[in-house]
Amino acid sequence: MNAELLEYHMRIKVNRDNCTGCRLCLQICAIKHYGEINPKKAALKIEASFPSPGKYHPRLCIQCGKCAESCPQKAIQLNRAGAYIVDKELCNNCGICISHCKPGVIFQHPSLSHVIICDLCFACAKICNTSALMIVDRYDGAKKRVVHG
Amino acid sequence: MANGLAGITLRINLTDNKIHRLPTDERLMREWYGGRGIVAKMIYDEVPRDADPLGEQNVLVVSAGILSGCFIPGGSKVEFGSVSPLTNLPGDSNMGGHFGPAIKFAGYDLLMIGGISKKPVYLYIDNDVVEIRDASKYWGMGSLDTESQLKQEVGEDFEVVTIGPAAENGILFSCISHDYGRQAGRTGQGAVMGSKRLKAIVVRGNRSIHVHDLPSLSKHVMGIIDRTKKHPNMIPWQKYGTSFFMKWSNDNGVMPTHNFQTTYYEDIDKVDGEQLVEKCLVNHKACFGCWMNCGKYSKVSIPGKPVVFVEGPEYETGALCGPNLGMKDITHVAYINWMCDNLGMDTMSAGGVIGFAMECFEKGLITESDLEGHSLKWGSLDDIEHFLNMVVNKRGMGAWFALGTKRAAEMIKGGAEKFAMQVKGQEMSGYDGRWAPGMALSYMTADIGAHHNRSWTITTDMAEGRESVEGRAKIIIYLQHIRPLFDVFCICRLFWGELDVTFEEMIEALNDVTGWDVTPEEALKTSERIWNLNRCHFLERNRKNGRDFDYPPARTWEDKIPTGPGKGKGVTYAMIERMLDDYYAGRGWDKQGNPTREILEDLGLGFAVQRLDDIGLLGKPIPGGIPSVRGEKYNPKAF
Repeated sequence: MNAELLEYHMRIKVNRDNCTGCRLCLQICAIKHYGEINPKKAALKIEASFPSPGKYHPRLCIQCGKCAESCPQKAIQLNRAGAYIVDKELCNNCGICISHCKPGVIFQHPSLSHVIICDLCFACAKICNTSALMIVDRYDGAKKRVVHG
Repeated sequence: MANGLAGITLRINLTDNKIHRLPTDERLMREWYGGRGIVAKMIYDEVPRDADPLGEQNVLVVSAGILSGCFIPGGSKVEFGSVSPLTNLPGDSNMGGHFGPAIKFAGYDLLMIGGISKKPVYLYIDNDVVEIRDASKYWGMGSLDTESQLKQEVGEDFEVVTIGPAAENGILFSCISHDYGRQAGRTGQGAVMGSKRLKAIVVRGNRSIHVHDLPSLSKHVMGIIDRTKKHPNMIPWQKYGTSFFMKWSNDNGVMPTHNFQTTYYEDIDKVDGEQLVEKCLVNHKACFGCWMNCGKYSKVSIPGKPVVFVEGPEYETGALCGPNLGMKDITHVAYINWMCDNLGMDTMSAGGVIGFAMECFEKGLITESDLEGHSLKWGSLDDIEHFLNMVVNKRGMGAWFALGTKRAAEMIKGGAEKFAMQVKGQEMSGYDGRWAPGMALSYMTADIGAHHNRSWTITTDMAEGRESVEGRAKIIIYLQHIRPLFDVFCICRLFWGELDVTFEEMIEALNDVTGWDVTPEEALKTSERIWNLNRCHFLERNRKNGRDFDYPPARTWEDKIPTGPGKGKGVTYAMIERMLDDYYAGRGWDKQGNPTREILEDLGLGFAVQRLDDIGLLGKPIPGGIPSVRGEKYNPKAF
C-alpha cells in the first residue's frame, strides 16, 4: 500500500473527555497553513461548557461533503486523501457552505478572501498530548465507520 | 511588528472615561522585557509615593508579556500590578488561562488603568473597539457567576477577568479571577480593581502575533514538545497537577499545619492528590497552548451544601486551606476553594487568615462573642463559612481580618503577631520554613512579601543541609533572578521546574520571537535590575531601613517544630540574622538592607540614587565594593 492510499484510510477521532481546552491544536493549525500565530485562523474549534458540566468539546471536520455540495462556485473539491479542499481562487467567500456545516467548523477571517476548511493534515492530532484528537483508521475492524465528534 | 509585540498600549482613566491608544514603547519593552518588568517600571514612574493604593492615583497595569500567546511552552500568562494595598509595596500577581494571549490577539501589549469610576463598569475590548460599559447589574455578584453571565452577554468566545464581592468591599487580599479557576491572587490586585469600580475586563481578538523567526521558533518548540511528552514527570503531573506534592511536602516536614504550628499533618491521606482525583475530579484543564494540563476541575457534593464546580484545589490552596485549617475531607477543602473563588479572595491569604483566626480562637484571643455566637474550630467547614461571610461583609471583627493577618494581629494584640504568618503583610505560601532555612529567607526577602514563587528552596535546603545556612543566601539571590523572569516573559515556569526545559532554551525562544540578542546573562541582570527597582520603590514608600521589614513572625525562631519528621528542628534568631547579613552582602546592599549607589549605577538605576539619598536611605558604601557576581548558579528541582 503506498503512502497516499494509506492516508486515505486515516481520519481524526475525537475523544471529548480527554480535551483539556489548551488550544495547541488551533495554534499548530494556523501556523502550518498560514505561517501565523493566530487561533482564529484554525480549521477547528473547542467549545467549552463551564462552569457546569465543566467539559470541552473539540469540533472538527467530519468530511461529510455538505460544504462541497452547497458551494455555488464549485470551489470545494474532494481530494484523493479524502479531504475537502478549498480552491482559493474559485472561492468568493460567500459563506453559503458555513450554514451547511453541521459541526460548525468552516471559518472566515478578515485577512483572507476564502473560507477555512480542514484539509486533514493531521497536525492537530499529532500535537495533542491527551489523545483528545487521535489519528485512526477510517474503518474499524468490523468495517463500520468510526463515529466522529 | 515582527517582534512578538502586538503594538498598542491602552491608557484608560476611569474617572473621566478617557481611553487613549498609544504605540507600545519598544525601547522600554527591550529594556524591561514586558510582563513583571514593565509593570514594576510603570508603577515606579506613575504612582506617587504618597498615593493611597485604593485611591484614584494608583494605576492597575496589565501586561500580556512578550511571549504570552506565542507558540511557547506555557506561553499563557498575564501580569497584573499596582501598589499593593495589602503590603504598601509595588505588588504584582499573574495568572494563566487564556486572557493574556487574548489581549495580544486583540492588538494590545499593555493596559494602564487609572482613576476611579463613579459607577460600576466593565471594560469591553473587541479588537479595535474599546468601551467602558455599565456593570451595575453585576456588582455584588460572585466572580464565577459574573464570568458566566458576562459571557452570555458579550459572547462565549470572549475571555473574561472579574472580581468578586471581596474586592468590591475592599478586602485587602482580593484576587482577580478568570476561566472559572485561574486567579491573580497575591498582593490584593483584586482590591485595587474593586476600588476603581472595575468589575471585569472582557477581550476578544482575531489578529496574528507576528514573530521574528517562526520557522526557528516552531523547530525549537516542536523539539521541546516531543521531548517533554516523554518526560517521566509528565504522567503524574497530568493526573494530579500540583496536588501531587501534598504528600511530598508532608513527608518532608514542611506542610503548614494548624496555622503553621507544626509541619506534619496526620490526616494527609484525607486531603491529598489521590483523594482529589478520586472524589472530585471532573476534567483536566489546561492554560492556552499548554500540554501538561495541571488544572483539575472538580465537582463538589457535600450534604446540606449546594453542588458546586471549582478548579482545584491546587497545592497552595490544598495546603493552606487543608492541613493548615485541620480539614479532614478533600471535598471540604474544595468547598472552601469554591467559596474563596466566588467571593474573589486569594485562597492562599484566605487560608492564612482563617488559620490565624482559628489559632486566635484556640488561644482565647477571640471568642464566640466576637464571632456572632459561632465558634471557629479546626476542621469545621460551617465555622469557616460563617467566618468568611463576616470577613467579606466586614461585619464586626470580620473587618479586622479583612485587612490581612498583619493588621488583624496588631488590633487583636495579646501576642498574636507572633503567629500571624506573614512577611511585609503578605501571608506565607504553603511551606513552613523552619526546617528549610532557605525557604525562610525566601519569604523574608521576596519583593512582594512572603510568596514562594520568587525563590522556592525546599529541595535546595535538603541538598545543602537543612540545619545549616552556609552559602544559602547566594543561591536564593540566583533563584530570585531566574524565577521571576518567567513572570517577566509571561510564561509558566513549570516547564523549567518540572520538565527540564532549560532557561537557555527559553532565551532562544525569546530571541526567535523578538529578533533581539538577549543572552542568559543579560536576562539575569535585567531581572536583578527589576528586583532592585522594586526595593527602591519600597524604601521610598515606607521610609525605613529595608532590614526593618525583612523579619518573619517570631514563631519562625521561637517555636521548634513539635511533631513529625521535623520534630525539634527550627531556625534560630542568630541564623536569621546571619542569612540577612549574607543576603545583603550578596546583593551589594548595606547592612541595613538598603541598595548602595554602586549597585544601582551598575544596574542602570542611577535615577533612583538621588531619591534614596534624599530620604536618607541610600545604602552606605560597602568596604571593598559590591560583588561582581550576585547570586550563585544553581539548578534545583523547583516548582
